[in-house]
Amino acid sequence: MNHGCCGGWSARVALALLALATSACQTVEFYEKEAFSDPVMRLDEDPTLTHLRQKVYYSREGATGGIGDSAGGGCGCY
Amino acid sequence: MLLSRRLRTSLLGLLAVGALAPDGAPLPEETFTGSGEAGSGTATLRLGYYENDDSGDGNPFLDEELEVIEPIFIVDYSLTDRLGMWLLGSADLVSSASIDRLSKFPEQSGASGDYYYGGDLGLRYELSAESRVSGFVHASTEYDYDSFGGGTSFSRDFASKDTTLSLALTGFRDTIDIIRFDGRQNEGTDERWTGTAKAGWYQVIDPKTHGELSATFTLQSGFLETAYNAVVVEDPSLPPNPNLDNLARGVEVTEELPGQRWRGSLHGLIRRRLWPGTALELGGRYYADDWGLSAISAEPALYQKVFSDALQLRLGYRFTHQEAARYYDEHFLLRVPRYRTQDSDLGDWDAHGVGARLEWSLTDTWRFDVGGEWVTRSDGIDPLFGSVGISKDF
Repeated sequence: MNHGCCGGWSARVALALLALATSACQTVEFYEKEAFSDPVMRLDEDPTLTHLRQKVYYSREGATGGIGDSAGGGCGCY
Repeated sequence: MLLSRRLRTSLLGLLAVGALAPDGAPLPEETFTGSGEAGSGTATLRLGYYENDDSGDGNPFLDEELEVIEPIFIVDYSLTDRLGMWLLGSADLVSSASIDRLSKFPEQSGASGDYYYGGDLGLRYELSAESRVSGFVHASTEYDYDSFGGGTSFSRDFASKDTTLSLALTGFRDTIDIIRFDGRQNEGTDERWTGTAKAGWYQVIDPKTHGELSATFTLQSGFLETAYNAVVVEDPSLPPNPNLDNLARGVEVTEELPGQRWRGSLHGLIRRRLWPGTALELGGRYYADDWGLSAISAEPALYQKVFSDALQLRLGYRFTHQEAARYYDEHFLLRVPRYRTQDSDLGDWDAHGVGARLEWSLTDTWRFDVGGEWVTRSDGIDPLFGSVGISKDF
């Protein structure tokens, strides 16, 4: 087994996300935010759907944080 | 008023730092960040379905086929214009799991008929136009688990709500009835404590793009094994073991894992509207813990309006690469290390998942959605899950 091979990947992903989030930041006036009222831009997901997917991922992946994203609240095993 | 409330909910939703895609899904108290007029609210009911067939793969000694039906409901209600509450209830109805093993050891718990019932009760309060605080308590019970917990979060907007920073803390105390793979119950109970801190950052990047970044740290201590998991110590000199799915020559011993686990993850996503009615999202996540397990995920998704604003389609793909915990091995030949597991969910694998979901706003107050995801894993555990949900604003 090869452990920890993802370290390089993690750094790259983190840096890419950080770079995207910071380098392109600019003050956006309220009248420029029309795009965010488009339903396809809503980031808030139905909480029941979020709960279900958290449970599924938590139960089937060792890497997932847990029910409620916090690795707590029950066995989480199917 | 309805339009106003929905628009406000949408805008506040954009500011919900924790409202991420599955891998970076929000902590419970972050899910309900919208505020509404006193007496208004939303009720949602969802029915989820999950199954996986190991096709003879996965853990070679164990039948890992199972089906789960999970109903979930949430009621979110604004007590005043600034104070709101929510109530969440859910259950797991496991209709089949390790059937063959259960017939031999009917007292075995966990994956053998482990029904789960849980609930959260939360409050949220809008301190000012820029800041919010919330808290919740949790309780759940299973065949061999009882869990109590709670959490709190604080979020604050900056720069005309172009930026939101948040911090959430949660804690859980689980009590586990130790029922082993062969039904043995002579070890009594044990505890598992879990504490999590999550920091989030939401950012409007330009007039058509926004994104989120979050970091989560978790410390667990206590009984961290899965009580009913077994490890097969193979010995060619032994006769075939009829309790094993593949009749291997060996004996089962308990899974043993350290009593502490540090877990950390970093998650981010960016969504950009390409043109009205179409948006593209790229999400990514990295996870690592001190058991040596690590994983990386990438999740692009397309959001597309279909025919009208009332109908929206989400098409997504998810790739995950997981590196096994150092205590994991597929085979333990004539050796019994101090820490050991054969749980395939702690092993090495790649997963490719594709999913689709259709959301339909039936009226100004009723919404319906249906969707599913199919995943193929390199170790042969191929989950399929989906759900239908309906919600109503009142």
